[in-house]
Amino acid sequence: MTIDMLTAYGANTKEGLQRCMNNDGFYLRLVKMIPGDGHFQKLYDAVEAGDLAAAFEAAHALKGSTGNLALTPIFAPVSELTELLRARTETDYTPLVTAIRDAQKKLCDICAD
Amino acid sequence: MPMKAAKKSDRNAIQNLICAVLLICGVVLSFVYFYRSNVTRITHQNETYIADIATQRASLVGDLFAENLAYIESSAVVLETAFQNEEVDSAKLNVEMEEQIDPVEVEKVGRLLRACEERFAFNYFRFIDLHGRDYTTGETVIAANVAEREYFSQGIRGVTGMTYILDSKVTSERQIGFYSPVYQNGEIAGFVIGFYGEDFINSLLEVSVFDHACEVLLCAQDGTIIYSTGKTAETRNYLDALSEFSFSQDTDERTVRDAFANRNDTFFSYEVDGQETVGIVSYIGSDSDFLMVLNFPAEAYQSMIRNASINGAVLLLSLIGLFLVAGIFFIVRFFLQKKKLLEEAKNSNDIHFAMSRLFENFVIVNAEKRTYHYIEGMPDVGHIPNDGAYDLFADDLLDRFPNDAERAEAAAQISFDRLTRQMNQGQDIISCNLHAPIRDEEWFTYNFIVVSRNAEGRVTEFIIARQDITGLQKKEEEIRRILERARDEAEKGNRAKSNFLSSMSHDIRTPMNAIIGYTNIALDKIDDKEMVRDSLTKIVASSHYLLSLINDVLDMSKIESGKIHLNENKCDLKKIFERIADLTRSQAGKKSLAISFDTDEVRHPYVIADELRLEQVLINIAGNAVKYTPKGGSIFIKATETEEYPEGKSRYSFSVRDTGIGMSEDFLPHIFESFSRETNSTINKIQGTGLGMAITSRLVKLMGGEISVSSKLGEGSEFVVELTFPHWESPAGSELSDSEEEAVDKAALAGRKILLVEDNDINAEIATLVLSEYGLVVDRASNGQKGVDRIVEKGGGYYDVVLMDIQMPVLNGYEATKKIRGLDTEYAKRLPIIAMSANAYEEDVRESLASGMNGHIAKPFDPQELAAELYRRIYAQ
Repeated sequence: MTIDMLTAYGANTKEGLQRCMNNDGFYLRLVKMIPGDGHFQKLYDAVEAGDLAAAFEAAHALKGSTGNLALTPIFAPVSELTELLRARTETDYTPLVTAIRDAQKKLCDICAD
Repeated sequence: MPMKAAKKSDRNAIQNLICAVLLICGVVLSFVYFYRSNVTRITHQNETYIADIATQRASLVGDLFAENLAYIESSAVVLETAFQNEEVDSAKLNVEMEEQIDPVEVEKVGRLLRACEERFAFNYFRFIDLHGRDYTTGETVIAANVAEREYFSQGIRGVTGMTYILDSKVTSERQIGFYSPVYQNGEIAGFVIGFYGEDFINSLLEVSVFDHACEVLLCAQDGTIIYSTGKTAETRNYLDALSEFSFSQDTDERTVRDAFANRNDTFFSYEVDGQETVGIVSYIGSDSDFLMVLNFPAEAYQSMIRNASINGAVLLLSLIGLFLVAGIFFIVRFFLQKKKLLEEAKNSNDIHFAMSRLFENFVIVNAEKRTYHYIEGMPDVGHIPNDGAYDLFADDLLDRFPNDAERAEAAAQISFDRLTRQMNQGQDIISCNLHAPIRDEEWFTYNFIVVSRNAEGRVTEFIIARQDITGLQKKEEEIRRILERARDEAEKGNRAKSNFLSSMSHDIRTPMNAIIGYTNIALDKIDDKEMVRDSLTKIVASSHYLLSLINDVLDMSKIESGKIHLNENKCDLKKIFERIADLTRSQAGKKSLAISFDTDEVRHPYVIADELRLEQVLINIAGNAVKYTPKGGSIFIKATETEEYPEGKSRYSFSVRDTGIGMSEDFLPHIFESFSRETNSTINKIQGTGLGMAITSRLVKLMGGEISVSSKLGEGSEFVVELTFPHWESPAGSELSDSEEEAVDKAALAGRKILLVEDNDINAEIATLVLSEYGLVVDRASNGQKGVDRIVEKGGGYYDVVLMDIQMPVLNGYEATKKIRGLDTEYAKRLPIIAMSANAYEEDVRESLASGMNGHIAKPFDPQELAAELYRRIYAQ
């Protein structure tokens, strides 16, 4: 995996690197940790089960970490989801969840390279 | 008009040129034709020429021959008579050949022949008897016998005729002979024959043409060459030799043969040695058998052609040369003329133009006739005609003067007699200035310029030209006015300076006196502590005042002399405002004034400006507001960014409004003048140098801004300063950072211990990295409870600061903070806890503060901001 692949993926690598004191290796190492983050599954299960409170906590955690690393394809839908969940909005979360899943999968593939 | 003439001569010249060219072409063509027909012409000419010569010569020869025939006939008769007289008996002569001839008779014949020969022109004179005996004039009378000769048979038959001999028996030369019978007693006794030798024949035939000898041949009709002046003597028969010729020009052998056969004259042309020439055959005539052939010498022929050609060529070239010379001459002359005309035209145009710019109204005056004529422009208002008597012109001009005195003056100046008198004395130019109402009120310079004089030097013509100098006059007045004004200003400045000095010296003396006075009092009452304290306090106050006065004066003088330069640097308006706000508050605090401070509408606080002077201005204004607002009043300070310009700068407006004593309308205009303070009781009680506003306004102007004031006596005043500053990139959010600040932060934070309470591993990793960069020692707790436990564990004073995430399981940030604050130690109460949250909503901030947190930082955080916040919290004690 390279910085360029991440940029192509849609991440704001410039911002992400900045946060990591421009340390390429450190940044990439952290990015690799994201796809396997347990909070993803927690989120999906909670949404499935209708537990909005639990879903909010999972989403919030993901928002933080993906935001820090500027992984926009995941951060954007997660961010939106977090706000809706914070307000415990009753709605169909499927499109957002799908978007998150897809972005997570794509990143997983990139990390495998 | 010179230009038109130039154009016309242009046309003419072009026409001439065309004609010349055509002529030359014609001449060249003619020459070509001429040259071509030259040869033919020459040939023809030569033919004619030869023809003439030949004909002449032939007829000459013919006549001569005829003459000689007649001559020999008469000589025969003469001999007959002589025979008779001398009693020569021909019978005795004409004996048979074998018989002996009577020598006496022979001798007689000899004698008679000799006598005849002397009388006759013949080279040789002989008598031939019937038997062929040739009686000569020599010693031996009978030299030979000519019985076989052709002419013998003719002669004894009694024929008078001509003959020729190619080889004489006697002299072996060529001869031509004329013979005629001699009778005795009615019967032929013999015949006489007269011969001409080669010399004679030669001289008869020789002909020269252009100093070249022609070749002339005398031929018999059968072609036998009797005699040739040239070198063809080797050939016997001319007609036979014809085959050697290379004939040309439509002539050939036959031409010549026919001529011989028919006894005709003819031409023929042939080439010899590669050169063309002509020949002519000419019949001698007189019923003879002879023809003359005359060959035009080839060299002469060629040289004739050459000469003619050369002559022709020379003529032609001379013609062409002449044309060229003429042509060139005309062209050059044309161009020179044109140039001259153009120059003249330009000169005259330039002069014309210059004159018309400078002068109006050209009038030329004929001094002898005393008349005027308008050259340029029309007579003003058309009162007078273009031409007329000088007096008419003068009167018309003078009529306009309403003022008698001026009119008399003018009359004297333009008087014809006076002008001509001066001119005749030698003056070429006379000028005078008149204040004449021609169109409006105008000043004119009238110039009278001599144009021509007669032989005695008296003026014959002069020009009157006037210049409008109204403008000049007006300019002079203008300059005078400006100078007067400048002088007034300078005087005012001087007065202001002396006023300034006198005021200043008074203002300086007062506190100085106070200082001296109170010092003395203190010395006097040295033991009285209270007295001394009081005096010293008053001395301090006066010293401060004096110092501020001196500073103000120095400032003013620096500004006035232009020695102030703005020291523009990057600065933060918000920081400046904070300082001013603090200062104002501390000043106002003692007077219980309500200060409102609003800088929200400043979007671009980072500008390039002279921080010091800007502060000076704002402090001055704010300070005044505090000074002149009584207890319980309010001051409203507001800074706004009124306009943003595309080129990276903005206009800012600072307004200071107070509810103070205000200013009167009379005073307002003078507020920014030096030492101006309103004179009323309240003001006099308020300390001030009177220079503050003057300095302020000048500084504002220096920074390119504007200051304005509005006020109502008793209600309050508002000062507004408007300035434009360019932006600069702020340190936060860009890669450029204030390195100085960073250095301070890094050094300041190094070694400090921080507790990071964060449940998210990734976030914790990043935060740890950043904090480590700044030299902090990081401890991590993964939720609120663990955080509290760690603090308790480490004890008081261990951590310098806590970074607390809000959203955490088990115990969130708010709860954890509350718990920490609940710990019964001073350290726990004062430990700086900074909240880290993804939200920056007001409620969250409030809640953070409510739960006991000191600060708040947004997630994702900016390393610089985090460092700054940490620094602030750690050192905020």
